[in-house]
Amino acid sequence: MLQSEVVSHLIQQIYHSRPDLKLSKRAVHKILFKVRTALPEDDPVRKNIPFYWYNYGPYSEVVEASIDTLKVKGILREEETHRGNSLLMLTTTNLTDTLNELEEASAIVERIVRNIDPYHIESFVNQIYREDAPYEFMPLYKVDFLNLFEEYLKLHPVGQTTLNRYIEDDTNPQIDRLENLIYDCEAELVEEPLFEEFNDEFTSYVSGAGKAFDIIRKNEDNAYTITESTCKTAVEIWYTFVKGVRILDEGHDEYYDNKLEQWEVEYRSAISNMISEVNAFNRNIRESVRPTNRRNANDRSKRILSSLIEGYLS
Amino acid sequence: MPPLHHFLDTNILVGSRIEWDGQHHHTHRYMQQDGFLRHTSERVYKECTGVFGLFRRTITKYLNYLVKSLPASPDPFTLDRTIQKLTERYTLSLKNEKEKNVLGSFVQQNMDDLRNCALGTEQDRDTFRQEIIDAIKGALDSLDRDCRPDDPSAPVVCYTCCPEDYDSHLPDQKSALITAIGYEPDILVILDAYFIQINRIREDVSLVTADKTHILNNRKKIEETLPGITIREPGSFFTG
Repeated sequence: MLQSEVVSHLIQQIYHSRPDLKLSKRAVHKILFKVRTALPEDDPVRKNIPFYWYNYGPYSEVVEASIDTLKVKGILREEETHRGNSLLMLTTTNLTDTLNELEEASAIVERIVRNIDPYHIESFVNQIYREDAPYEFMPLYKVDFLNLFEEYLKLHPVGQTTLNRYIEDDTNPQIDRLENLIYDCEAELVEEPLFEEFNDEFTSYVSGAGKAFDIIRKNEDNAYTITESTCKTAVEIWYTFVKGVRILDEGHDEYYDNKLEQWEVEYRSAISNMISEVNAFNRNIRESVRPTNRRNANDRSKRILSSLIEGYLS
Repeated sequence: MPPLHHFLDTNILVGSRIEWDGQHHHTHRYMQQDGFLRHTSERVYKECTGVFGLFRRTITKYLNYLVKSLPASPDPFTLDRTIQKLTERYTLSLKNEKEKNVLGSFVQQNMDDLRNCALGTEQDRDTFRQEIIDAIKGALDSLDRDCRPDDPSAPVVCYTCCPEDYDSHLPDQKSALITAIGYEPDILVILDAYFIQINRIREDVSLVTADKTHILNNRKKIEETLPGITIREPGSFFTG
């Protein structure tokens, strides 16, 4: 069977048990990714569904092309929701029967589809990050840190203030959680030569973000714009990271090996943009920080710092 | 009479973030001395923040490794040896010599806390990690207080006007220094000092550094190539 036939057949199988299902393209990609991971290593169908990790999780150019073909053939059609999202739905009730060589894969499709909630596909995607992402950094940064940060930004619109600045109270458990998470992410950066420059820039961002979170905690006048720029820079960093991670062996299937050269060019260009973005972010934060009194470091802090500096100067 | 204007290298700004009780580091004492106008460049400032960021990354990564690698109930009598062995193994995975030195010094001087982390609760470990992060944050804050961009009233004026590289601005000087020193990051810092001297300060400038390998050992060549620049160690300014 041709690769395109295998994938087209499996996409149609998604609708086999639930013909009324309406799914985003993204959901179709993720379902077939899960099928691929559930198949035994030596199952020939696996090779027909090649993936790489990208902006929103595992992505397949083969799946994308098959969706387009099914739309052209009139088997699938796209419908726009009132929120402007596109959903794929089946136009025919005459689905092809399950082919013998795809019996196992089809059964897996059915099992996955039975268990997903099409209205909350996000939790299915998050589960994929946690179970299948090749590096610990990915679920930590994308699912835990970025999602929480974007949620925080939505819940704290411009103009909203708290009493923190008047009562000199800078407790903010959500910001504490975000700050802890960004340090967790830094401790799980990908240790590959390709990522050396990325890691240094990420660390530079983390140092700036630490100062930004202090400003946000105090809820100063510029807190919203600082939150927004810290979050925006974090998102840009993710888009750079995924341009790099797909190049690594763990980040793509062999099928895409012929794209590596082009991907590396795109990654280098993204790194260069990221450096400018992080520099601009840090400059802005540095200008926004109000001069504060010296922190009173305790003996333990002094010992920690002096041990590090002594090692650096030795 | 030595020049009143000093251009500070990264090691001086990093080293002066703490008070030293040892005899071999003079950076903090040097920063306490009055009577000098101190300057630096944005490049040096960024190097400093990069150094502190690397401290944080190195140690938090190491703590993750240590926690994952220690046995569930470590034997308190052999714990120091276990930590040392794990540290040695972890150090082998580090490629950067500076990182190795930083980690070695950290482990040696914080063994009590590492032991408590190994025997204590998750909360004890979180508290220790937070102290490390706060110590770095304190150093970064202190750096920001001292080095304010283009502010003549700052303890250290941090110039943002230096070119990214000196290929078009000072090509002959750069080429001469590359032949002698061969390490571009330090050459760019030296050229920052010269660029600021000829374009902003317009008086003689001492480049203050503790870097023996690339700068102090090449003092003569640098001073010949860049008239108006003298190379000095921080200890050379102490009186009495």
